[in-house]
Amino acid sequence: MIKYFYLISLFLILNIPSAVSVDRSNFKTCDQSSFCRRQRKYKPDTTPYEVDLSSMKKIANGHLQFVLLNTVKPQVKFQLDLYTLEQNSLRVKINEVNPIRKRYEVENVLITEPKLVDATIKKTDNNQIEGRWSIAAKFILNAKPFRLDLFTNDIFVISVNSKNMFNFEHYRQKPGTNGEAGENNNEDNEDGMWEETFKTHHDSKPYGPSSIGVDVNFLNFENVYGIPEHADAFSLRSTHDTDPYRLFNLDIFEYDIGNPMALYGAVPYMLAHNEQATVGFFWLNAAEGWIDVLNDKLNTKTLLSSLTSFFGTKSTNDNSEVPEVTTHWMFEAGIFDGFFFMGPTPNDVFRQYTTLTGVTPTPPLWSIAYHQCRWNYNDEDDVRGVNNGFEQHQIPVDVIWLDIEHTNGKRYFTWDTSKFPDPEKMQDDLAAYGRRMVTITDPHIKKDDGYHVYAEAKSNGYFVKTKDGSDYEGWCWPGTSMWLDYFNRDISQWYSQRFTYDNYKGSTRNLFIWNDMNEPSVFNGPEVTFPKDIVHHGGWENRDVHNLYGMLQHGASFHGLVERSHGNARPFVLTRSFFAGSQRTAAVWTGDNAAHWSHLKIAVPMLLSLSVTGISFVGADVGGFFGNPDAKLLVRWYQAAAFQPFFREHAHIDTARREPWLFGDDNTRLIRQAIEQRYSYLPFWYTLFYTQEKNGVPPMLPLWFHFPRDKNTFKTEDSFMIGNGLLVYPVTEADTNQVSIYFPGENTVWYDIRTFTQHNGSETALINVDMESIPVYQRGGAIIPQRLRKRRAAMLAIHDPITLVVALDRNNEAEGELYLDDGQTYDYRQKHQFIHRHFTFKNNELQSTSLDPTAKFETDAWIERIIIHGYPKNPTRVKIHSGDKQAVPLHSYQDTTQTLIIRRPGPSVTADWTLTIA
Amino acid sequence: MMLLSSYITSVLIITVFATISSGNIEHTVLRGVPSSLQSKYAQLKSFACLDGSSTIPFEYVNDDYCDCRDGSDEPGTSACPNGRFFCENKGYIGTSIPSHLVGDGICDCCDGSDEYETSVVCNNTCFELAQKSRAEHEARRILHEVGVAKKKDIMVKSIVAVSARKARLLELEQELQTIDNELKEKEALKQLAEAPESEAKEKHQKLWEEQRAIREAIAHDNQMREMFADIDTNNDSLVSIEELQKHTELDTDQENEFTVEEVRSILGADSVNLDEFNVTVFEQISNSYQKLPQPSTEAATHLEEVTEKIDEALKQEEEKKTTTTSGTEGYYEEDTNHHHDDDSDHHHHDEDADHHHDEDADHHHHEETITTVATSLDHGKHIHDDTVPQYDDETKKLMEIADHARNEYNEVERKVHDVKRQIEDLRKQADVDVGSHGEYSAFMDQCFDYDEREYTYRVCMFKDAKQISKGGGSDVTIGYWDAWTGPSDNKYLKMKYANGATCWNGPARSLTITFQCGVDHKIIDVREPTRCEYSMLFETPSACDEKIATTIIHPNHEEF
Repeated sequence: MIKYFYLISLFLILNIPSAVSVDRSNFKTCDQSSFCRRQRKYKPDTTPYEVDLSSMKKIANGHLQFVLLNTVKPQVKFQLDLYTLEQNSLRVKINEVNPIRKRYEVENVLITEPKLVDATIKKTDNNQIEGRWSIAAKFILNAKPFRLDLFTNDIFVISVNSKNMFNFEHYRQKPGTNGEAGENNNEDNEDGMWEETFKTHHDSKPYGPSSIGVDVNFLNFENVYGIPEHADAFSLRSTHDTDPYRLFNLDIFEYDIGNPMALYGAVPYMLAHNEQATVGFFWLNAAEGWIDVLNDKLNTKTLLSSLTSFFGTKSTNDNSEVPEVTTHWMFEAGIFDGFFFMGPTPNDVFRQYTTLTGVTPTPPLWSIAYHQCRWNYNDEDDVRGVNNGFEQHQIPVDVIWLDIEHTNGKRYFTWDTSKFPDPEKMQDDLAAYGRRMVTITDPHIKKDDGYHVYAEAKSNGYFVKTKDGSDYEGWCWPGTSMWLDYFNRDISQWYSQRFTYDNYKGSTRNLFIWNDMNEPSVFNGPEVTFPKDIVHHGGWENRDVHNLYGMLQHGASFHGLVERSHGNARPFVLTRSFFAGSQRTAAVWTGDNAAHWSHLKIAVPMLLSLSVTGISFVGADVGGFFGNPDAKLLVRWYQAAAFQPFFREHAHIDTARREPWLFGDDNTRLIRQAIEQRYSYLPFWYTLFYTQEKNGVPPMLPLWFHFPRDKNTFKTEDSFMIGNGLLVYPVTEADTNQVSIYFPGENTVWYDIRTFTQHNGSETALINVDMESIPVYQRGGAIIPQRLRKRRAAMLAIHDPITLVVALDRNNEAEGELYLDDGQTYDYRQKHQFIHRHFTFKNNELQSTSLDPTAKFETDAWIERIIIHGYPKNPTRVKIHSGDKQAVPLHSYQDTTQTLIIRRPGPSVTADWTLTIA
Repeated sequence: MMLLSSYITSVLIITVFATISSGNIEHTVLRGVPSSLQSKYAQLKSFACLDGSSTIPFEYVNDDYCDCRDGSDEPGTSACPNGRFFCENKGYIGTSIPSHLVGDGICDCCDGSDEYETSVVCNNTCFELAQKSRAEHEARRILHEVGVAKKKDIMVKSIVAVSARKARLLELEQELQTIDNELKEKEALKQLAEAPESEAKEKHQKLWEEQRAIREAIAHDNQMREMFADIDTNNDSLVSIEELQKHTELDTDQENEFTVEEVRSILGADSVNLDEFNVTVFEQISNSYQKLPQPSTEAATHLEEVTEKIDEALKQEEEKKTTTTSGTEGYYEEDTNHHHDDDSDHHHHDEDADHHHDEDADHHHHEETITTVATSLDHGKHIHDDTVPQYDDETKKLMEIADHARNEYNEVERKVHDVKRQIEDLRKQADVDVGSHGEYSAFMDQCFDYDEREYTYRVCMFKDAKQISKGGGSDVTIGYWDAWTGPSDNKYLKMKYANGATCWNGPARSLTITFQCGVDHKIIDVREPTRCEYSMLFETPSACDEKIATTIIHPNHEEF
């Protein structure tokens, strides 16, 4: 959240206007970033890079090493490492051999060393080797010119450097310095190579140019996704007429939508999907990056002539053109460390990526419920008043948040004691309603010898340094501030220890954490962040590691909360900045959006882009952070966000109050209904988060994930899926009484969750909507567990009975899952205390079986209702068996909607049972 | 909950064919039912949902499954999201709570009856609550009692004040009538006195204008003569071509020579005498004409002569004119200050006070003016002097009489203004809504302060509210008196001050004051829940409630 309010004087200095949209001149274009300028224009007709096949060494099973040469500069040697990995994944590293400065290789992202699998290597001729490392995965390395082609199920899917844009700027001596003179003065002395200035900020660039560019081309694909964070389309736009998509974590004040500007976080991971395959490319690099995306056509004949195999069995002989998405990746520093995920299914790609970078551990149940936030709830009375408002209006809520004003002068881990004299009691009072609190801890540390966090960090030398070795100082909320160097494990651990109850006075076990401004935001820094030439632990420049900073902070916060409870309670941390792997320790929100319909609409593509790149616990501020939403926009936003993973209302300090009951009885009712719907689906959400922990598939998904062959879904960004069960189409237009919804999937049937009306797949339907409507549809074939009873907070419902909603497919079949545990501890992992049920409906029988019979969880929860949509006729008899018990529950049937409702079937959720309909 | 009610709707169409229920819920039929409704839950074969929407078998009541759309079949469980659970709360007040609070592990009823099915142990706090509540009630009652006494005092004072105001108003209105009549008389007198005054002044003015015309004619003639003499260098009383040709400044096309032809075209002849010069030449050349350089003595001599002549002529003319008019000596005053002249030369100052002031200023100018005239004549220049001569004594006298009449009129008019203002103020006061019985009349013209860490808040009732920075810096107006904004049953519980200073990047500040009963008038709290929207809590006896003050709970009463 950007809070410039108190910094009006600073405003003048930074020249940030108070207008409603971003001042783009504060942020670099590609042309203003010298490496991007150089790389973007690098388009030779042929590549000067060649692989010396004779140099091939097998370092280990699954690891081959080659020498790569730049024929223009043969004295500079590169090393090419190919790692064939489990799960159809391939890692390709290219680095300088004996560079004059060690190049940064990203740490803290991969969860383990990737597992190698041996490849069958074949030398097809003197210029190529072919490697197959699974039935589905094959590579062909072309030596002269250097090029790497990848195949999944023998279908040519990815080609690297087929556009000759691979360009590796090796470290070199500055021309004119003593010792060796520069190799080629003209070339090495281009503007911006050895220093550059943006606005008033000078980048000393002591190591000169070090960027890497490469083209990665997706053959026969028309759609690529990912590389968040941008407020832009889900299926990435061509950047032919714009700047490339930028990856550089920045605090953009009042961001615009529909452009490739960098935002708060970065995941350098892209997926491509077509009817045949889903593949991915992940370049593990934390430096500033730019990515051009071009939708191209490729003449297959040209392609064939240079290849021994193409398109496998589906090879085309004619001279036709195939689509191709050409992507050009440019990073300022580091090495080339590319991971290729060969799919072939969407599910496979998600697993392949998360096997390397991790998943989101099942969040505490309350954290996927509703959160109430504001900059700021002013004092303890205010917090109590807000809590009472929810009670009075019978609106469920689980968490109330405190923004920066709760601290003593923006000294995090402290309280403004005049406003919050007894924070423990305040948290206990909330806990008495089953609710929790989140407070903010930003990464800037106020420069104040009287502030214990600062004093200790200062005396220990824990702060990030300038290039001259002094502590770096910048401005943020508290005024002059310094930043902890989380790259040093000791410092990171020290930060984690700040969260102990002893160190964080006034915190209780019901207090959780929000990390904002962690790009980091530095009000007087270049592009409102760190200068590139400041120095982190190990001597690495911010240039090398920039995009990791936020993740290191929220990771340390997460571990602090784990340690605080001695490993028992699951933490909750929300972060604004993120990188690949952030999913392991934080939820992410889309930062400082605005109260505009366009921002409500863009939330879906933004959240989808995050979800497909592994950041699965994501949301956008309900109502829009800046500005005042009218009642209609606010209601629609609640309705949309009730079906998005992270559900929080938040507002800027300058906005009018917008608690749910402030917009008249009608709107209060509509908002209550939306929040109640969220709570009713919490068993489903919770199950999805658990399965996400197991298989890497996020709860919020693009339609193509479940309908990979339905071309109509490839660009869909107005609707999305929750798991494989619900299709959600948020209403994002101000004045509309009809929406046009595409229902995916041939032979698929969809059931309106409110009216039970059926819709056929592969069809677009015009749906009438009023302010009550949240167009959500259950997929025929899905069984969804719900809790239709109401509670004031999610944790109070964990033993409440379950309703199973069975939506039958065309074959009268369906299946689904239910995961339950205590909702807040690690007992599910450490003591195996949970239940994970599998429900199948087939041949008029609904069965509940355990997916993990060794797991145990004590609960009174029982099945109170089974609703079956699409059941063809009123049955004569329904029976239920559980062990040696039998019962004949009552049922009712509604002809018009083909809905069968079974009253009080009664078994415990933990039991195996079979329901038979006759 | 929306969803569940949809399902319930569909249940209503069922054909019941089996009655085996597999639930193991303890059947306590009357759990959660208030005594007033217990007759509806009589153990019969069937139960009619209280909204009449359907009838269900009696064993469905409190069987932990929601059958009725209104939730009435589950008064004792949490099965219906829209149901109500009645806590008996023996010893305290029985209350109805939403069903979703039943069995949620949180004790909501003081008798703990909502948590009968959970492992949570709820202490029965009804007795303590009742005691506490009684004590609180009594404390509150006493507060209101004391407050109401003060409030009544305010109301009585208000009545007194209102009748005093009314009496005063009446008095003032009568006075106004009287002085209004007086004013009319004075106005007539004023007009009577002003008529001869303005006639005399007009006459004087006319005379002055005539004199000025003569002066101008003489000056013109003198100039012409002087010029003629000047050009006529051979003093033959004729201006010849040769003489004029020396004045090359008269050559209209400066490029060529000043030819004989050109000179002749000016003269219209080879030479002209004084009369001809006056008629045909003087006007043509007077603008461009320059004297030839001459020995200074000669010029001075000549100038003296001319001056003497002018003097003489002027004297003669003056004598002639004054005898033909009023026969009095002419005194002149400066025309620019003569505000009875053409109004366009003056800013309108119709207010009589100003008028008087100007009049005085005019008289002051007289002496000065005379000096100016003398000086001008001494130097033989400024013959176009615009100064007006002083009024004659008679006119002065008329003016004095008129001044007196004006003064008297103005004095009465001031009185009328004053009385009118007083009446207006009283009416304004009467218009301020100080409560249905004047209970807020004590606020009239009062300001109240509240000290907070950074600011002092100051409300001047029915006027404005300010935030005064303690660390220096200017005051910020957070609103001007707007209206009473309390709920419809008692709008005097809140008041609003609106349209204060605009916030940076935000709306205009505003303040809402909420009143509650207290012994004194006092600000209790000021907050800013939303940026620039302030809210203030204010204690005052004016907000005390007689009903509360008189509702006494019998100490031995078991229930409320």
